Amino acid sequence: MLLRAVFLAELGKLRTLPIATATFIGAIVAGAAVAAAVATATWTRQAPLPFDEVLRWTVPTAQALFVLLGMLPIGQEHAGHQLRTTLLAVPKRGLLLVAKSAAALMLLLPAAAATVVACWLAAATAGLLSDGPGLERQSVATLVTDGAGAAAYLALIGALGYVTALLIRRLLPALAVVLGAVLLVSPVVAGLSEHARWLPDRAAALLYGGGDAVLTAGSGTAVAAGWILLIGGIGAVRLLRSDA
Amino acid sequence: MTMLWAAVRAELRKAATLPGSWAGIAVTVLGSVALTALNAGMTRAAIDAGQPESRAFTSAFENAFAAMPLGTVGAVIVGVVMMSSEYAANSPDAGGGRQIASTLTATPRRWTVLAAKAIVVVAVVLGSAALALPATLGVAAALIGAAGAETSTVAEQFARCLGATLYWSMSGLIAFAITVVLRGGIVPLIVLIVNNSLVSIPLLLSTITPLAFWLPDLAGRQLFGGDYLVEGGLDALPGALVMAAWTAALLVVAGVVFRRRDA
Repeated sequence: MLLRAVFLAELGKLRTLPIATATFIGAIVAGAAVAAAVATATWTRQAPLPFDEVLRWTVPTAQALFVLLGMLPIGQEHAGHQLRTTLLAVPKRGLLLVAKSAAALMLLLPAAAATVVACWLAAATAGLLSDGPGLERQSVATLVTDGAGAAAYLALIGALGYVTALLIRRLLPALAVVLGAVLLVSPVVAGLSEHARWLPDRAAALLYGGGDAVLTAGSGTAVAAGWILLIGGIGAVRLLRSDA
Repeated sequence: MTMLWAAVRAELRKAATLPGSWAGIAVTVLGSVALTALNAGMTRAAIDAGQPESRAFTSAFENAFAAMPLGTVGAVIVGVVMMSSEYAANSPDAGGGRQIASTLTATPRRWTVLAAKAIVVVAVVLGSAALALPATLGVAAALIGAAGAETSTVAEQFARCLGATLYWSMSGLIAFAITVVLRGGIVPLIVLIVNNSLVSIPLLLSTITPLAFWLPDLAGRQLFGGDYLVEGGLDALPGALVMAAWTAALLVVAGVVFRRRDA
């Protein structure tokens, strides 16, 4: 049960990291705020909005905080000498990596689910209280499908942040690289070339909306997972072979 | 003035040895060139295939200028790291201190430190613009050449380049001022990169209230001219003045906060 002990230790470190709590709450609040704004903005259209349309506006904004959230399990280790202490307690780096990755997922998945639920609540409430179009009445199955897709996307983007931080090892540079790639390079390349579909965020975005001539939600997720495994694999080799 | 000049020289040396500064310059220059090459290549292919109407514009200048938003992110990175590097803790083996303590020991006058850093931020951004703009225009002209149809005069193109450079400089200074107040680079980096992406919060707010057009990034967007004109926003000159006022106000706030608190 060494893995369990290390996993619980990693969770404990995240639980006591103030920026992790702030980012967790910030992602939920930011998502809800944008969802409320979209549901009350009368420019979108006069008819009530389907939930996936609200998500199409909310998720790209919230993803920035999920990138940070995913980076924190690794970023905090390289601030100061915490990694040395961690490796002293857990000399087996492979075990540490598995436990840390599991702890990162434990942080990202509930945050993603909570953000999507908060988006729905905020959009529905804002629509009721304002003169805006509000939310369209949809079946529970549709709402759950759309919400689950958006939550999965946010978790994948957080995982992309995690593996990038694992490779680069410093929080600010990793943040600049991923945010620049996802928020700037990806949309611009998408406007210029159809091959942008193979970028990790573009491929994973099929989970919550939009269509593509080549990829489906499932194959898009596989492409994103492939990127995560590739970057994570290089980062893992670096962790296993380098000094602290 | 002698102390300010000495501080500027010191900050320039620090910036030259800071990897983050070079990352910001690389984003601006290399990113803009790469994007222009992609854009211009596709335009030339459309022209050669007899389908120029499939592209929004065939002008070499417009294809180069489409990469300008990336320069704003480079300027933000430069502005953030110029100050956030001061608050990054050293290795505990080296005492675990922060560079800001050494900086203020060498230059006790805090307004001098702030002014020197602001001058260096502008200098680095201007240097990036001096490299990026001609490079992107050269790449677009080489790829499209005379096949494209120019839609603006040389004077208009020059004015738009100056406007873009001014926007980048003020964005870098705003990022710098926010980082001084917050003493860290994570929040300004996230907020400002998100704001300069396609999911700009001020742009979303502008659909709810026209007051959002008075926010600095939206007010200054008219400086890019052309297709960057924002419906309902301020014109170029009033927008530039509003953005400059925001920049000055944030720098003053940063100076007051920096002056009054511990390092």
